[in-house]
Amino acid sequence: MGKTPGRSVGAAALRMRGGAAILCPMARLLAATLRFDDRLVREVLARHLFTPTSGRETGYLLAGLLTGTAGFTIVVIAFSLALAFGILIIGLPVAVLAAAVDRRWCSLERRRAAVVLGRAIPEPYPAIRTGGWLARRLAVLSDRQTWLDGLWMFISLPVGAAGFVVAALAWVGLPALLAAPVYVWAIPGWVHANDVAISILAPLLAAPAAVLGAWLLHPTALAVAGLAELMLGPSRREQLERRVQTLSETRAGAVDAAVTELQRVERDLHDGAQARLVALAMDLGLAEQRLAQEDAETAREHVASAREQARAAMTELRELVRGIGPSILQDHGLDAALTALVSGRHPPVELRVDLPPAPAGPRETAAYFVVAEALANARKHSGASRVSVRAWEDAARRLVVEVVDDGRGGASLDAGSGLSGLRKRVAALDGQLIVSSPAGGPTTVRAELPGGAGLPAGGELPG
Amino acid sequence: MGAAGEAPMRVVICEDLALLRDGLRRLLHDNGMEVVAEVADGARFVSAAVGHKPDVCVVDVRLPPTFRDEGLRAALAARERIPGLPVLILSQHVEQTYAAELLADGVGGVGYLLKDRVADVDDFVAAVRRVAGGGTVLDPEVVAQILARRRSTALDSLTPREREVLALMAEGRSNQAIAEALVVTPGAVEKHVSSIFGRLGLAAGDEHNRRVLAVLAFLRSGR
Repeated sequence: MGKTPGRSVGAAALRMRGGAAILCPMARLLAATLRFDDRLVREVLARHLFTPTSGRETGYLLAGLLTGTAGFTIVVIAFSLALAFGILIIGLPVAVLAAAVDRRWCSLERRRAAVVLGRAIPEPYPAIRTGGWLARRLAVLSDRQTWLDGLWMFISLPVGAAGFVVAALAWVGLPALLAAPVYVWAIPGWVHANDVAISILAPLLAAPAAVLGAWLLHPTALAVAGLAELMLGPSRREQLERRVQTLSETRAGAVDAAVTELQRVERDLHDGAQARLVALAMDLGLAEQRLAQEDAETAREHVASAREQARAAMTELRELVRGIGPSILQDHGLDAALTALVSGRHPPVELRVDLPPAPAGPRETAAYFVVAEALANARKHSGASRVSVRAWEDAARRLVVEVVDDGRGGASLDAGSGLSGLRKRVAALDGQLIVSSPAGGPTTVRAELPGGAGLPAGGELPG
Repeated sequence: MGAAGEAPMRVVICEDLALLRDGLRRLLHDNGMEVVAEVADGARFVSAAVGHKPDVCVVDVRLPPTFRDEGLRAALAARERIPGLPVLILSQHVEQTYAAELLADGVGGVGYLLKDRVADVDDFVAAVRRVAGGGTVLDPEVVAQILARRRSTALDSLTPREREVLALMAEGRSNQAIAEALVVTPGAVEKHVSSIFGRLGLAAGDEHNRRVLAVLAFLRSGR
């Protein structure tokens, strides 16, 4: 590594927003190196190289040179072959094959970039279902994204090389450049007229270059992955179309969920309170009949039974009302509502809530019902002896509730289960409901609800 | 009509909620009937009805698996196997179309009551006996629905008084009971009844059968 990488890194620094802000500390670093004061260097390297994300970003950039080289080679060969055979009839099959290989390759690139970005890059290929085999293949060839894929593979070599340089500089730039005089001395023939200048300048620039590399590691990885997303991901229009699709689906789901909920209420009323009241009326009727026959003893039994039915009807109505909308949630928020929900439960529930105080909105209500349903399942079906409920807001400001029980598992999101209705309710808020319940347990029910209605799942649309 | 004589009346109960099933059994038993079978779904009901040939069946309209009108379907199926099998349908809410479906075969021995009616034990037991005797008992609620929604039909040819008499007939009341309700003499009621039969074009014949057909005409007028 000679001057070229240094120039490229310098150019990258200038391209970057705030390039001037970097050049000033650079001068300080150069001064520090001249004074043999390495404290500042160590500090900067420590702060920028040992971050939670630097590992995967380094991997992404280093591998980028390999994949870039391979991608470039593939696309150049494929393109040349298709062009060369273009005059012959076999040019077409070659092009079709090339397009297929390109797509596979770019799927790999999408997955690689997704690791750095922390979000999946959906495949933007339009579904082609009409026409025969040949027509479909030709449609793939004329698809805009096929060509964008090819373009990405073409530029991924220089992009990958630049990324590789940044990562290499960050991690090994300091020792490598400090050792420059050794190469000059050890490798005969490498030495030119300016070998003396190199031997002096390279060690001097070692610290600033390494620090620059460390500084640029994170932005470079994000920039390369972002470029991949831009070229390989769906366009804004496609994203909007998907969004509309998702919204229509979740809206239908929300309507479904509402209907299911109403049916549940109707069923609970019919089988519960309504039946109790009929039984109560029946008991009173029988008591009346007995009193007319002056059979006070039996009449008293019927009255006692009637009172029991009245009590049970009141309990069932109370539970039903609570199931429709707990007033404590509206009045005192999710924390208080969950506390009330879990108190006196059997099996005992361990509750941990770590939420900023906020008025209860649709997502708090949905979270509440997820917990209520999961607890009901744990009590009714799982035979759990311990249940824990946690609620918190994650880094993406999503409200997360998680219910874990040590029961026998087997909970499912299948249609008809209480959880499936809740999944639709959660999806209508752009959230997701995840159920893990292997046979034998444990069961984890987790709902993630993004803050603010209308945000697409997984982040904002690119502006 | 009721056969409250020597042998106790034999009843099959079909109700999915154990609470109400037990209550009904107790109620009927206390009133001198014998519950020969208690089932919780439509399919079992049909086989129980065919197997026991009871004097009367008490069936909840809403049964598993769909909790809609399986009870009604099962009752109709049972009556297809045993024509005229007396069936009293109970429901949390009443719909005249259901009643019309039950009565459509014109045989009678059909009752359709709100579950609430079990509270008036004597009336309820009387209704069960009337259905067992081949009578027709419609819930006053159904009758009220029909009167409220009546469209232009043959019933328009009836006088208001005759419509009142017919409505009470639909509830399963005897001429005597109708006379009491309207505070008229039984003779006057009989005159109204035969006038109703005439206006509805029900040829002279079996009085009981004509009552069923008149009630059916009344039911259909509400659609």
